[in-house]
Amino acid sequence: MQDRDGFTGFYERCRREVHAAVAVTVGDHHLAADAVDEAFVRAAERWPQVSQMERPAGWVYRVAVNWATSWRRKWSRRPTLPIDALDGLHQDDLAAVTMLEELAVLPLVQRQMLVLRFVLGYSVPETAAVLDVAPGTVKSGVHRARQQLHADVEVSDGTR
Amino acid sequence: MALDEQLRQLAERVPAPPSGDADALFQRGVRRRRVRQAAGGVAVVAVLGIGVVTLVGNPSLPDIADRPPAPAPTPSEEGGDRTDREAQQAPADPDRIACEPDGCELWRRPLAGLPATPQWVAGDPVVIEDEQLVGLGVDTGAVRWQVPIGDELRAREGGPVDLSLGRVMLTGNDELVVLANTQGVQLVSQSGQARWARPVPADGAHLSWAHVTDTSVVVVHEAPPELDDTEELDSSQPLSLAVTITVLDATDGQVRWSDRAPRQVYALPTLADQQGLLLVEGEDQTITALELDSGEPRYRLPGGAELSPEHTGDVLTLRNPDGTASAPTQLFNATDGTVRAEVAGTVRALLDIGNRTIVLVTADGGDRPREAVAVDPDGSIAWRHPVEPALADGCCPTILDLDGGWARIADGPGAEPLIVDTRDGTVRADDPLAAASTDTTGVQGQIGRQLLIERPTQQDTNGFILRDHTGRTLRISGQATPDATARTEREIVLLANPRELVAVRLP
Repeated sequence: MQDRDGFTGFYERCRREVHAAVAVTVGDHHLAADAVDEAFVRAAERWPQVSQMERPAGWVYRVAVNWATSWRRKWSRRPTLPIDALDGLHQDDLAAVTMLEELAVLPLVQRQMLVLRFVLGYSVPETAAVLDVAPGTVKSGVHRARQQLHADVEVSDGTR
Repeated sequence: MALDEQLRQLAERVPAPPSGDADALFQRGVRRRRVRQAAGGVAVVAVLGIGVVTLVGNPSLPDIADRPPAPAPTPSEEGGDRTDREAQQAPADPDRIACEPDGCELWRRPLAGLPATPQWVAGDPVVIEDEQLVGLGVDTGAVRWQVPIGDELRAREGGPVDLSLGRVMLTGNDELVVLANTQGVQLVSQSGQARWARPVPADGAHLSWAHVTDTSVVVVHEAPPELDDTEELDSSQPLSLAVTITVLDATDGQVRWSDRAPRQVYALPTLADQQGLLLVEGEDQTITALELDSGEPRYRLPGGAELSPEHTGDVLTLRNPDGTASAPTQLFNATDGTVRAEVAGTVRALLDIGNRTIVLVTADGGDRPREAVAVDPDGSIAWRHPVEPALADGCCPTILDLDGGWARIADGPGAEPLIVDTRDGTVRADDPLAAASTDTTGVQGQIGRQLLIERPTQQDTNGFILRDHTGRTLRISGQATPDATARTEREIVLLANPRELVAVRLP
């Protein structure tokens, strides 16, 4: 019962933001929905271990992205339009669509770094732990991604 | 605007996910964990009084209680392809350890005997029961979700759903499940979310094909010719009087296009999936490749009587256009219809191995395959090899793709095969798939690249044997040879006939 309650609470707290993070990463909110569901099932399957992680939502996010990219590699004949990540109200938002298109050309791991850092709000060490890379790799990956996005501006917390 | 603010704003504009059921997801995860833990402690499984799975080979399995606890899983072990570099560096998957060394049966489920079931979706089977689409978990066979069949698929309000042979089809891919009958089409996601249902009445025609790609759903209806008592059916005339193609947008079920095909539509699911094309035959017997999503023609191929198109990889072939076996057969590039190569004789079987196509061809007007020819993407012939001694019967030639660059060419169960190296056509003396014992009659079919279905020789045993190329076997008794099989990512094989569905885990 305790496990179930713990999982349910985790699911209800994190599902929305993980889904959004995956949708921005893979550019498709339908695919993200199925991927996140599958990732939560896998989290439940390994709940004794996952529940002890510092950032279990990061684990779910990465599993979902893995699943979505694996599915797309096997079955998708056409690239998903980045606009598929947005709700109908914002598909005319040029800035949002442009941002998604620019994200789509980044290597997947850089997209994941940006999303973990600036959408889910993870620190550099936390991002590194989720992606299983060194903190320095996260810093350089974010830097390269920002350069490609021509976003050579300070982030709101003053870091670059 | 700062980058982090831009990204956060972007995330806020993603629509909320459909409502979810945390409890259902938790239960699914717990069931998977229990199956993983329980399967490792059983060597022989008595299943529902129907039959017993016997593990042939080493019957003793490691005691799961003695094994150290599995390490905390890293995300790289989950969800990605096994070819990912990170997955290769990850610790061994405990799911595989639990069922070593010979595999085991996971579950069985009796089926209603309907012609449309079962169907595989993302490795999890979907069946029709009591006018509902039912999604089963591949690990346990337990029900994951149920969706009622929509009223759009009924001939009249409150009436039954027509699920009879020739009038219903269940199909799907990793993301979508489609049920089509002569009244309508319904689409459900592989996680059980109902997406849409549309009436697509067939006006008395029967349903000949239904298929879903990632963008479209195609249904084809055929109405047989109407003859009065004085007419005879001329075999040179098409069997179908009216063929209607309807293509729907997979997103919302809106009709993209609908048209009549003058003669017939060729059901080639791999062509639809890989090239997004639909082949139709016109009145002048030419073959037109239509863009599946728009109905616009992409290219045309020369037609002829008794055409039988085949597709594999990026190659499309038709029987030679003028109907005589001695004329060369053209291999076309499926993407654009250009000629890749010409081979003498009629193609009886073909196999795509990624960078090469192997074809078995006849010669001299006969039916019997005489030669195996390897054709490269640029149309050049890499090698040729006579196959006649191995295919003396000429009935049912097959080419199986084996590991390590070998192809197994044989004709019917029990026939002496020819094992050729696909790189240079050299012949291998031994058959890597030769039965380890005399307990089988020979290969009946293949699942994936490594698993064969064989029938036991004992006449009193109703069942079959799964065998891999290393000789390890798993005997499935109490069931006839399956009509359909599928192999999932998690080394689970699904085997189905109209009466029963069985899931086994491979070693």
